[in-house]
Amino acid sequence: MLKNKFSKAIAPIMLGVMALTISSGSVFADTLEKLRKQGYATVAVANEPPYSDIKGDGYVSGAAPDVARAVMKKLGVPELKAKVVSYGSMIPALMARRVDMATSGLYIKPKRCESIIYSEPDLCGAEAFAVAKGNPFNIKTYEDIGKNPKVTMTTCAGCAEEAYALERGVSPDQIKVFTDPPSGIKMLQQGRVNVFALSGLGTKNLLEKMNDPNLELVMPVTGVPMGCAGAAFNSEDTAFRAAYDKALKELKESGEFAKIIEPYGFSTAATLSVKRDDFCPGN
Amino acid sequence: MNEVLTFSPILIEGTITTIELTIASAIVALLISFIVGLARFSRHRFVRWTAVVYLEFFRGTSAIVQMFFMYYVLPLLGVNLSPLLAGVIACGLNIGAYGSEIVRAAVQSIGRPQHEAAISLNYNSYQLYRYVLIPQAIPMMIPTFGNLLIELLKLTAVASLITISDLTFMAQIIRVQTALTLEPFLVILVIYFAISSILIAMTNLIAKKFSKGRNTMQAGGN
Repeated sequence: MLKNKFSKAIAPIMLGVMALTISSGSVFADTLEKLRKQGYATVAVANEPPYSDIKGDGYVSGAAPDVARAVMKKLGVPELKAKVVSYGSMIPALMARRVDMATSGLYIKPKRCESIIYSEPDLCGAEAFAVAKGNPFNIKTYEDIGKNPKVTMTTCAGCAEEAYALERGVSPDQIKVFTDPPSGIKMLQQGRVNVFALSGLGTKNLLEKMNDPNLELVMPVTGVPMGCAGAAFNSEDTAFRAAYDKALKELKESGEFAKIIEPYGFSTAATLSVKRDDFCPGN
Repeated sequence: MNEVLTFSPILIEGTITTIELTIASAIVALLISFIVGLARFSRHRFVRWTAVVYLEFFRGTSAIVQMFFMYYVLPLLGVNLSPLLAGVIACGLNIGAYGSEIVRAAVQSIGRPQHEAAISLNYNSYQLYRYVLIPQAIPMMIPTFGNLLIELLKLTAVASLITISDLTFMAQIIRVQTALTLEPFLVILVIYFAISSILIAMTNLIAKKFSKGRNTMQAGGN
C-alpha cells in the first residue's frame, strides 16, 4: 500500500472537517502485477448463499468466489483470500483499496458504476419475495407493495432490491432494512414486515434452510430486470479488469463456467445472454 | 446445535480475535486515560483545552462512526490501517476518553492536605503526582476501570462492522449459512459472558493487590 508521508502528517488535522468526497490519492501502477507477485488476491464476498458459501473452517466457496477463483488462476494468481463484508460496504472497501476486487452478487447498477468498474456479468438471476403462506396481500410485484400503504417490506440496506422498490412507488417508510438475510426472514416470521425481498436464489436457499411451512416463495417477481452481478474493481484498475474479462470469456467458452455455477442453481444461458453494456454502457 | 458446532473452528478463531482486540484496545485506552486525564491538570491552557476537545469529541460521537471513519475514510487520505489496527485505535480512543475522566476524578478526589504536605516537602509537580497523588488514586480507579473493560469487550462486537472477524462477525456468518438464529447467538452469549467473568476476576485480583496496606478501598478515599 502506498503511504504518502505528507497526507499521513496532515490527516489528523483534517479529521474534523473531512467529508466523504475526497478522491483517492493512491495510484497503482498495475494491480494484477502486484497480485501475481504476492500470490493471492483479497476479495470481498457477501455472506449470501448460494452466491457465497462459507464452510465451518472458514473456507469460502459459493458460485461467485468459485468463478473468481477459476478466473484468477488463469491470470496467474493461485489463491483468493476472501473477506466477508456486507453489500453496503463493498464499494467503500473497493474505493479505499481494502480489497482488490469484490465478487458474489453485487449487481451491476448504473449508480454503482459511477464509483467502481465491473467485469462482464458472471451470475444472473431472477428476483424473489418471501411472504406469509397463501400470500394474504397478494403481492406479486413491487408495484403491488407501493399500492398498498399498509404493506411493509424488508430487504438489505444498499441492495438493488431497495432501489427497485423505491423506483416502483414503494414509499421509504414501507421499507425496513435488515442487516443480514436471516434477520429479514425472522422479521417476516414475527409479522414485523409482510414481504421479504432478495435475489431469487438467495431467497430460495434461505427458505429451504428455514423450512418454515408458514412462508411462501414468490418467484420470479415480474416487472424488474433480471439482476446480473459481476466482479467489481476499483475504478483505476481498468487493465486488471480487461485481463479479468478476457479470462472470464475463455472460462465461459470452455464450458468450465457452466460446470462451476450450475450446481449452485444459476443459469448459464441467462448469464451468457447479457453484456455489461446492457446495464452500464461505457463502464 | 450440531450444525453450529461444525462451525467451531471459526468460532474459536473469532473468540481469539475478540480477546486480542480487547487486550490491545485496553492497553491503548489505559495509556490514553492517563495522558488525557492528567493533561486536564496541566498548567498550560493549550494542553488542558486539547484534552477537553479530545474527551468531548470521542465521548460525544458514535463509536461506530469513528470506526467507519478510521477504516473507510482514512485510506482516502493515504493512511492505510489494517482492520485490526483500525479497530484497536477506534476502541482504544473511544474508551480512553471515558477512562480519562476516571483518572481525573480519582486524582481530584485526593484531599487538599496531601497537596499541601507534598509542597511542604518541597516536591515539584512531577513528584507530587508520581509519589503522592497517583499512587493513592490508583486503587480508586481500578473498580471503575474494570467496569470500563467490560464495556470495551462489548464495544469490540461493533468492530465486526469493519470486517474484523470477531465473535459477533462469526456468529453472523453462521446465521446466514445455516439460517439458525437462536443457537449461534446463544453460543456467543455464553462466550462473551465467560470472557467478561474472567476480566472481572482479574480486576478484582488487581484491586486487592493495589489496596494492600491501604485503607482507601474501604474508606473510599483518604
